[in-house]
Amino acid sequence: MATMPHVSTIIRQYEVVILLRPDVNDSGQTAIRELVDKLVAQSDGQTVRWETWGKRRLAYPIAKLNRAVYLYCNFVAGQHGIGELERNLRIAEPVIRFQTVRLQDTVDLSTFDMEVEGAKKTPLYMSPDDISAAEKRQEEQEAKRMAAEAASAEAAPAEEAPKAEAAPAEEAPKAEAAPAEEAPKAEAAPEEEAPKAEAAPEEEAPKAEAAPEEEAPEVEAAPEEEAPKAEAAPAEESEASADDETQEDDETEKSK
Amino acid sequence: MSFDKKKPRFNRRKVDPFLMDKELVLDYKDPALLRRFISDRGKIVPRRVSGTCAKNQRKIAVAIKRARNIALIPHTTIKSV
Repeated sequence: MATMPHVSTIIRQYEVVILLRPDVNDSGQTAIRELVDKLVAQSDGQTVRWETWGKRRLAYPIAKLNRAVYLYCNFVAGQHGIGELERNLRIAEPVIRFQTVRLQDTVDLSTFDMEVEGAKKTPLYMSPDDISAAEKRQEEQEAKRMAAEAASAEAAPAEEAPKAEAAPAEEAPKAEAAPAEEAPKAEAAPEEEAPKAEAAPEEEAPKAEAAPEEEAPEVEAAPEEEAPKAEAAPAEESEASADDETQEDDETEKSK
Repeated sequence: MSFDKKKPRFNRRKVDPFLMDKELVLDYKDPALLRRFISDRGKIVPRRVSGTCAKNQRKIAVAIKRARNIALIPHTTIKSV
């Protein structure tokens, strides 16, 4: 880190991830790109590369939306430009969230290799081909979902019943809603993401059992206990059991 | 040592995956990787369970929080309705 220079700007490398409303069209996306390009250029910088991660399912709803179009931009810019960029992103209508991360303090533009940096890819990068393939998959799954929805609407309440006797009236509509939400997850998550994304969240018991496959070795005590108890304050439960384990662990070490 | 044999459960060495595999790069933009360090409830897996070293655990924590911000991984899987 260089000492604080008295000259006005330090050029730094940043990246920003921008989440757009899922209904944004191509021209809307281009508008955002141009906006960012313009602001970056204004702050003595240059965009290194743009990526799109396609339309992804959100891990939790933002602005009551379950999906968003992800854009990623890597750029170099003077440190004073970021405030202005973020102010504009806050105003831009299709943007539902963004996150700027500083990658490098002080970039020397004379040695900065635009081509190398521009050729890098993030793990979520999608080529135009990937995107059209994802869209196709999405349409197929949409059709499948329609069929599945009709079937699961009848089956779901029966499964749900033993878990929540108290509020079956509330539970029923939820059960109907759940499969509908779950189905698109696979489409939204590209490539190798898909299987994991399916296995992970959602509050249903069978899901919870399915998930640990990967995590089993790490979280020994937790998942098996959590699944059946479900709503009965499992957070404390898992901590308590984990603590027990630590104590045992300590004891064994002492006795050694 | 004989005690250890009786309780093989605690024998397994926990290793930091980032020290084992130098190619592995931690990145908040890689939800598939981060899922290894969160529980099925979305909580950050403690060091005593995952075996990561202190330095990497701090980095993992930051990465997970960044990924949560942009909804790549959940804050929790419990839905508040």
